[in-house]
Amino acid sequence: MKEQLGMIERHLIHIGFLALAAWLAPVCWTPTVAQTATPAVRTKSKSPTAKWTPPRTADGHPVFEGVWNSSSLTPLERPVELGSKEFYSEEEVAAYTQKRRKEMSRERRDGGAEADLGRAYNEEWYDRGTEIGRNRRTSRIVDPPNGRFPPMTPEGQKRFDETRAWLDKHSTDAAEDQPLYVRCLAASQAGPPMLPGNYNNNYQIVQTPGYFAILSEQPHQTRIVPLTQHSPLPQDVKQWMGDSRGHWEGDTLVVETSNLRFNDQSKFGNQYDGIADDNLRVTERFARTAADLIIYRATIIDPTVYTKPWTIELPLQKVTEPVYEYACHEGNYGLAGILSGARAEEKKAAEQNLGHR
Amino acid sequence: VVEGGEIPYLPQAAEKKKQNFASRWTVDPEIKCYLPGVPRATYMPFPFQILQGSDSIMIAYGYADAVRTINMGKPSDAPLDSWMGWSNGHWEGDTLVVDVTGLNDQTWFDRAGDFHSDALHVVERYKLLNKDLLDYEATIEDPMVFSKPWKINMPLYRHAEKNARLMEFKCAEFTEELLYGNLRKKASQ
Repeated sequence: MKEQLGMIERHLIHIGFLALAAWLAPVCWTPTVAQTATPAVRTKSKSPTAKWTPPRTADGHPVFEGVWNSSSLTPLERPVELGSKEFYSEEEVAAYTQKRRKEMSRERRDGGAEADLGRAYNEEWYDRGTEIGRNRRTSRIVDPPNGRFPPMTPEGQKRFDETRAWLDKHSTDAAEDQPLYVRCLAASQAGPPMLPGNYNNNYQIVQTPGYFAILSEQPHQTRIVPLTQHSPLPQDVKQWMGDSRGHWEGDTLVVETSNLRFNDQSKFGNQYDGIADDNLRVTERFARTAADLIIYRATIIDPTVYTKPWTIELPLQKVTEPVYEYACHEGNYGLAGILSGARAEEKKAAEQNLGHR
Repeated sequence: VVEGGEIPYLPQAAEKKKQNFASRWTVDPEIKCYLPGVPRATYMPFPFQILQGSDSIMIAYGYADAVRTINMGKPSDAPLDSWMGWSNGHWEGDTLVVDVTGLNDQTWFDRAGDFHSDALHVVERYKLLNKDLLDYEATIEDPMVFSKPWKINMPLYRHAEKNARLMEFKCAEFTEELLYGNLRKKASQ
């Protein structure tokens, strides 16, 4: 397994190259007038404590259009020792940020020359953020109140263990045995729920009177959420990104998703491999709370796997640069590398076996 | 759909086209589920959805999650080449005109091996003829491959059925055997 992780890192090198292109890309971009097309910008009180009033679309809803980024150093689960502490104070933020940068960085000098070099090189391709989330939260999970996944059901635990055991033995047997994100088929970033990864945490939102479209940079996947009457997919039709429908609750866009496809390889969130099921439902809430901020919440209801629903909250920060094309599958040298590496190791082992006879 | 009936290849390029045609079952980028480029994305046998935002127009294609965002603000230059290119749009009356540059040389125009270089420049014109019918025209210019610019023109029909929608089509998983099948673990003897 350890060896395989090494190979995944190498895989990241290759697809990371495109991620770098994504950073370099936007130099010629002139930020366009994102809100000018929106008539009737309402301005209320100018007092600093006043709630920020969003620009509005012609049909009166807040404008979410533009490019947004979810990277941050905030962990998914809260460190156990913090108990029910939900927020860092402003003073604590600086110290914690330093600590977290160190924890997350692979550029260390404690593994011997080869490991150190490999890690430092890989670090170059990561873009996981350098600050903790603007909401100063101690974890991305905000419910349960301890900021950690709720306990799994016995059935969930069984599936989790079986999946892990299977992956340990077979994940390099063939392309279809690799995780979905390695095969460029799905990514935690695209969701739902939309969970940040190590890079490519950008989203482009385009809003029309009938639709809310979210393009996830990773692995370039667009979720088109109908906002008007739209009959749901039949129950037996599943998609990796499910079937989403949206409606407004005041200024908050609420998106409900069902019909999520699952199998023993579904990749759903950073820590949630392959065990979701038909019962899975996700409710997302998008609230634009400042000119450069969307607060995104998602509640995951999965009674087969978890004893309780759980909720994450992420700040989505406005970006003035465009999302650049991430051609994941087209540049997927990593998948071939992982498989040919495994075949080479088998060959070597077989030769050694012969030698011992 | 080609105006004049024939694509004006330069002599050497015509030769390359023939080779492409002969080896199309293994080298057509579509067979590997690679992004289709512009204008091929428009006329593949898959639907697409146009999302008309306030400062950009997104086109999401049913094939392989291909997507492009047309910048309707101040035109900007392609930062570097990509599969779906860099699109700047503007209105000429009721016609949406999209100028596409920054296309790489990896895509084809069709399954017959018609191809281009990375000097490709495409100007698309979308015009509604009635509520369910678009007139689509693309002018294709590539001095490395063609002796002069040429045009394609075709009608595009709206999916008028109730609840028409793009369904998820993960093309990549269908080409894994072609691309990685030789690396499959052999059944132990």
